[in-house]
Amino acid sequence: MSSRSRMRLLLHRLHDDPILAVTRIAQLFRARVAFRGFTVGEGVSATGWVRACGPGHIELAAGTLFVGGMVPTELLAHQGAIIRIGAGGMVNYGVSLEAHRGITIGERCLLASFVRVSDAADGRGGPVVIGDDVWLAHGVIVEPGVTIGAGSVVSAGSVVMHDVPPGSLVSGNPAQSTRLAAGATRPAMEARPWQSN
Amino acid sequence: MSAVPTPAWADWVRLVRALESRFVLRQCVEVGLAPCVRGRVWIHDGGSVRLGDRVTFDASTVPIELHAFPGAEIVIGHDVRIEGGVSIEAHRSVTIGDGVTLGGYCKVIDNHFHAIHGDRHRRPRSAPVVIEAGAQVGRRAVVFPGALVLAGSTVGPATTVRRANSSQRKA
Repeated sequence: MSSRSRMRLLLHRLHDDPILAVTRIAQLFRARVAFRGFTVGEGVSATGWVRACGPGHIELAAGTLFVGGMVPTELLAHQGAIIRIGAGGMVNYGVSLEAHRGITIGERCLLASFVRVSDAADGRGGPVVIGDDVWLAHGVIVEPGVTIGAGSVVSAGSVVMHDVPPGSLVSGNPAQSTRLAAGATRPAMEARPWQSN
Repeated sequence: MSAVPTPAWADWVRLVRALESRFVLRQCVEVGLAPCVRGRVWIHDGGSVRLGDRVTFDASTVPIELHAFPGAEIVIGHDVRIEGGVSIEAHRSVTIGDGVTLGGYCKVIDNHFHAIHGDRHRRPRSAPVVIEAGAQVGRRAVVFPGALVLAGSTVGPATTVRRANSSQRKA
């Protein structure tokens, strides 16, 4: 959508529901301020406190929502590192992404509160790759060098130490497959209530 | 030997603290005797929250979140202690018994919020959560929908409870 038609849409909404429209503009503005100096796609919004810092790169595709809460979300990209988040995802409060090399998160991801992803710890290291449509539930810790396949679900409080095949449901510490989520490789995610445009 | 006299202003400090606690908890349907609140307690979304006597919220580090969605109920018993960063989210009902301690950053939910199969943004059905009297829930623990934490049991730090935690029952 071009910026001109987006502006027209917002003006229409300003007429229909002023409070909602102003809130939405504030959320878009908050994300612009939080991620100033980084690559941010259209419609990236933040409803709370987000901190993005470091000399590395952060690339956010269109429509990512950062939900605010009791603890700020932090994205830290060290020298030469890159954090990529695909389009249409949702990141809850207290999430901490720390990249020394690279963290890649696919499209339509759900990162719940207090998720921690780091690609270097205790002398180990390696880029972390998280596929499309992955749901990391509350408090999940993803260890360095791990690849999580598309459509997977990681249960709350798990620690992911090994690669996760696509479409699986894992839980525990270390996270192990509990049962294969039937046909979950590509869930239909048409209705995204926070993305009304 | 005479007891150290309490300065008169200490009573005023106590009174102000008590009024402040009541003010923070003003959205609760019921608040028992002598609630103690430090820091911020967020009560969201218009469900009913009932507190027993002598409930302590120690949110001096991180806020505490009580999320009762419309029609849902959070019932907290007497002498409960809740530490900072705890979030209790109820779509239907979360019941916490007398003398329970919830450690910092622990999460009590009665709904998974996202469906595993199909549309991720469809909300699955809720299952009521009960934490029985005297249980201790450790820091960063997650209590899942439908869980029953048995009376007097201890839930370890950073663990999860999905059903009745019979294995952790004290002898």
